[in-house]
Amino acid sequence: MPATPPLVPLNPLRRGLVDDRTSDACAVVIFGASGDLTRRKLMPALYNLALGRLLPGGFSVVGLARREKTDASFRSEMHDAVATFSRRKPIDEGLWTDFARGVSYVQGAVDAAPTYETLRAQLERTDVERGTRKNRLFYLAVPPAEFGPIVEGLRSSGLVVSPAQERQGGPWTRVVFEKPFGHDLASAQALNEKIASTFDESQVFRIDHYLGKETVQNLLVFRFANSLFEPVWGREHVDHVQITVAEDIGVEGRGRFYEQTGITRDIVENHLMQLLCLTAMEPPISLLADAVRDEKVKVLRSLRPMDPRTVPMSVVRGQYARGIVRGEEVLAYVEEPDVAPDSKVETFVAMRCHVDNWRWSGVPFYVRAGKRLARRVTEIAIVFKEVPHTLFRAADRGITPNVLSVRVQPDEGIALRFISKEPGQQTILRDVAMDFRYGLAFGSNTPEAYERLLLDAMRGEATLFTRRDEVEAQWAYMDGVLHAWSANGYPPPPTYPSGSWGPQQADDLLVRDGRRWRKP
Amino acid sequence: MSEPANAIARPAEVLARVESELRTFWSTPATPGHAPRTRACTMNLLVVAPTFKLAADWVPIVDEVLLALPARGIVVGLNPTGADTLTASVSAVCTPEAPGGPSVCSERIALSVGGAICARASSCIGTLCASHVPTTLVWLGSVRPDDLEFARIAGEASRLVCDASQSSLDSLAAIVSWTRGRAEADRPGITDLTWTHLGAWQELCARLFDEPRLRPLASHVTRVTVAQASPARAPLAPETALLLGWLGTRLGWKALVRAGKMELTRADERALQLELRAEPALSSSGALVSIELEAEVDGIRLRGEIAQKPRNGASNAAGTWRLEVVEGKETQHLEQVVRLGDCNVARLLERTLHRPASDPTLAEAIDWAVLCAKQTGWRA
Repeated sequence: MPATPPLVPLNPLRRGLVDDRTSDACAVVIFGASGDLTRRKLMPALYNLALGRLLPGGFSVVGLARREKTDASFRSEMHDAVATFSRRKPIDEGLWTDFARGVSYVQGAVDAAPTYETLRAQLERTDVERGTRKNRLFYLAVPPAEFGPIVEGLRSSGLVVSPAQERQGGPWTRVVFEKPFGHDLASAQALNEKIASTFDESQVFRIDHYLGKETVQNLLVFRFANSLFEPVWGREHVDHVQITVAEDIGVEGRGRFYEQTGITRDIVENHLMQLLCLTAMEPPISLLADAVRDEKVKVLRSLRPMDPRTVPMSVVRGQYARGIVRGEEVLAYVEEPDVAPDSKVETFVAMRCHVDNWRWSGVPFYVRAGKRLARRVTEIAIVFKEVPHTLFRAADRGITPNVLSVRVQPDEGIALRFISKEPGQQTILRDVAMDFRYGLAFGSNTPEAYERLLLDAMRGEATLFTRRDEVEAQWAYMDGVLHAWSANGYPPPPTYPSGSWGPQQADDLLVRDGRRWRKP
Repeated sequence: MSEPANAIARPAEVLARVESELRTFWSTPATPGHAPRTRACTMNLLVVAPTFKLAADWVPIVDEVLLALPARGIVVGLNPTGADTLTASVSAVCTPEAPGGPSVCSERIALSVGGAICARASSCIGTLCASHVPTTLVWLGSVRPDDLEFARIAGEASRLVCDASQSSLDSLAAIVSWTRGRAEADRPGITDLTWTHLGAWQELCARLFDEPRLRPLASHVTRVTVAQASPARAPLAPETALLLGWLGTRLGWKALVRAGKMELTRADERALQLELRAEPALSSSGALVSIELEAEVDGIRLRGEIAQKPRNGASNAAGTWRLEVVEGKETQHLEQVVRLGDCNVARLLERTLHRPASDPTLAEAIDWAVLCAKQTGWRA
């Protein structure tokens, strides 16, 4: 059947262009422009995109928040933020001056209709003055409670165009939601319903910034561009998988937020589940967004559900007590500002998960996330089975199994641990590692996750964003745990000393299975 | 790390000494109290220069690249008309020690090969290349058709990096022709430092036609004005020629001489005006200074310009991108300050090494530019 010709002709100068990653002209509207995320991540990311010539010719940024500011004061704040948080310093003043001409500010409450009238007028001005062609990317860097009013405000003010218009060469509208996306399955479903009343799913970009990290993206390349690993990637050869997201910092002034979320909602439900999906998923039929996300959803649906009977044996939570981190004495969680003295909120979770499918049957996935742990590290470790028969006299613990570890942060890289003979007359076995470090091989100035994700959203590429059914499947799984914990009589989380690797019960979880946690 | 090995020694002795020094370096324990050295090697970065002087100039450039991209660096100076000689020196290029972390080191070897030994240069180089990683050859000289010296050395490389601004279009064409003559499995990718530098200009030219209503105008360019930093009537510099070659191949332009006058025609065979301007006041480097494109169709008129600002010593050239669109009574102006890419050779090479190993559009642009230059005798 002949292919349908595209409605809009292609730009012939883009054919075969190596440096081709710009988007259509557009305005990026940041809700929550006074917040930390805008200062630390979003604006530095946009500036770095400008520096790399990755922003389109027609471009502007409209910040929107409740606080009173002028365009000039907002630009000045953003200049300081970029100067402080940009990965490339010093700031290029000539480029910034030009970039800042397209930066403006709208003051208003997100639940007030006049805010959207002002925003609309501002966007119409930028269309004329900055050539943004009515294309808008709305970035919701706000608490989840404000998602609903913003979606409603955008809809009722006519700031949303349908994807059908885009297909006919008209302007586009996209919306980016920051996590947390809901606080349980019911709230995530309600939020998705609300969004679906205004936006088509193709216009929705739910951000999980872990997916923008180079190492996480490399996981797909590593697994599916090398013939070496995929044949051993399953129950035949893998004993178990460990995924760790450890932070050495505490809640860092976010006590109020943490009291509502805990680490399960903050990290496990999204980042950890995504890492598990990318590790366990089958090869997608292509790298198109839906092909990749279909495979991730299959993994989530294969997770053995948690229920009140299994949670006590499969999940351990904890809360940090006083301790020493990086040589400094630190407070307990319950002593942090805005935290209840009798808080039962967890700052550590360890879980044994089972992916009940053909590939992973019988292979446990041990996942853990914690605050105030011994060090900051995120890694995925594939622990292979031991050799079936030992030919060599080995030290007390016998021949240790091979481990493939994918380090997500810091020192991003991949290491393969194997056994080697120590040179000499005797056969002495030693654990050695083949170590690939991103920074060594490719230089350390890699783009920040937010640069990649912002540009992808502007380009309409959704592979690195989570789809509705994915988010709901993540919540469906975690709801089993959260319901068990909320039952009357469920014991409060045990404490662990700050600077340790979590409570003893987390170690016991693996010891019961004859295994132990890595100390990455 | 070492003084040049003895010039009158036999090549095998010189190479053995180099290998021995490399082994010694890695077996020597780190100074007590210092973090251990970590060796890293992602490729053989082989730079071959047509003179000893140019090779010496490239040693610090390679060292700078090795700090960001660990490799075994081998810088070779060739002097076939000089006395028979082979000298070598070995050094390690190490990142500063991070607190508590190891210092990461790359090896760099400098070779000077003269006289009859040049015929054996590829064998000497092959001995010194690390065997488990691919080889990237940066070829700084000109290449003639059927250039045996080049063919012997390039035959082992998986990737070729040329520098059109230091050689010529004909040399680039000879390299393209040589690679086409090789079996597909052994054909190295070709990239070029000047082409990498042009990446910014290409992207900005493409940006002029990104808006859907402006895309048809790309096929209706009526006038192109290109300025290069050169004396009047100078030949077209490789950078300018490659940019025109890229535009020509993307937009289906043809060049021909009619009644002794050069003409460019579009894909629809309509003529388009080409003006080549020299900017003698700036420098004689042949660098691209500006490009203007004008186009018109269906009542829409477009004028786009990319112009480099005076560099004032900065290695990263700033420029301006301007777009003016007139449709009926409405006129739209857009202007952006942009970076036109790094002119620091080390960073340009590093950037080139991070790009795809081969860019087919480069070979197409070279073919187009060479053909046009031959037919028309282009002069700025």
